[in-house]
Amino acid sequence: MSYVRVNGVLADQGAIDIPRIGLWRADLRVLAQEPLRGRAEIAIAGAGALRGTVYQASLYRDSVPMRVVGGAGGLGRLIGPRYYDRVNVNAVLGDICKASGERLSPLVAPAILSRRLDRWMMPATNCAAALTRLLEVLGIEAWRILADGTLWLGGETWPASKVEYELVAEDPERALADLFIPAGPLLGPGVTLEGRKVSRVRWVWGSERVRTFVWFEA
Amino acid sequence: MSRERIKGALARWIETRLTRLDYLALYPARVVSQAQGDGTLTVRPEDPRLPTLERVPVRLGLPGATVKVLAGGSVLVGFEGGDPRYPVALLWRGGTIEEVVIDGSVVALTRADHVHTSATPGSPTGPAIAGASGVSKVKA
Repeated sequence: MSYVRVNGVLADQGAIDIPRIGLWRADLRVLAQEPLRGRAEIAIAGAGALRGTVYQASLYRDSVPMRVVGGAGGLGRLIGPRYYDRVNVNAVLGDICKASGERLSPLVAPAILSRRLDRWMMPATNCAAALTRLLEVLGIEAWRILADGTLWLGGETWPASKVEYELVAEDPERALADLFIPAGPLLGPGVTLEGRKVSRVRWVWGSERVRTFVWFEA
Repeated sequence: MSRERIKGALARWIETRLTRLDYLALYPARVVSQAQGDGTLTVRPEDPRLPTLERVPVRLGLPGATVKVLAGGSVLVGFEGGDPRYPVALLWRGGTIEEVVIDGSVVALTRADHVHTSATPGSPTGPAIAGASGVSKVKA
């Protein structure tokens, strides 16, 4: 099966979880003879690619089980205490990105970046906590690492997805659907499928075809 | 337990301590300076997780009261509504007052523990301060 490759190396099984809020992560097994390190591009044939960073990888028998997280994987890094006096949100986000190594998505609304903060106190904490606190206070509902590895934040617009799919099974109680997507762009959260808001997507592949599990907003 | 495991556990404990800040708690801080105009403070919290805070308004707990203090005093700082945009200085833990103004009446305490008051029009005696050594001067 040559469906998924990490930096060009075949990943014969794995799962990729993409939440609407937070980091996406991929747990997979690549057929390599030594652990991969650093930046990782997960290419899914016919669908696109996800850019992230190897979080953990080790050689086990003849393959490498590994975890890749979205973006630079640096949101767990510590950021020192800082105080801001009369700055734009852009300045605070810039410091968080600098400390974490993440890149801000060009899709972030300029109206958010130009918002004025008369004062802002960032304690010594990790970058994810600093980001979460900022967004919480500003009333910004969502953030996530996009497929291109950049950090996006803002309010959802819930555009309609153009992905074509077949419904394999559905569990209405858990607002969960099992889809078969033969081809087309990657399906991610933050869109609607026939009017239903996609909250989380999980791709699973192994010996059989790729399965796409979709959780909808309650 | 091996040395590495102890170091790992310690690192995790430190990280946990670093990454959790209670925004509704009060933190001791040293007064660095006070702005002449609006009386806001620059304070340096004792907790290393907090940065030096500037333009921090003083909430005395008395309507219409303001205070001038000398650098070096100790005060508790917090955040109104747990919001990092709104730091406030709340309770004094020690320090030296230069001047207190209550409802337009100036009540000044010097280091010699003298009390100065100036009565507002229509107020014959002016405000009193309990525990002060006595009124030494009435300002016009």
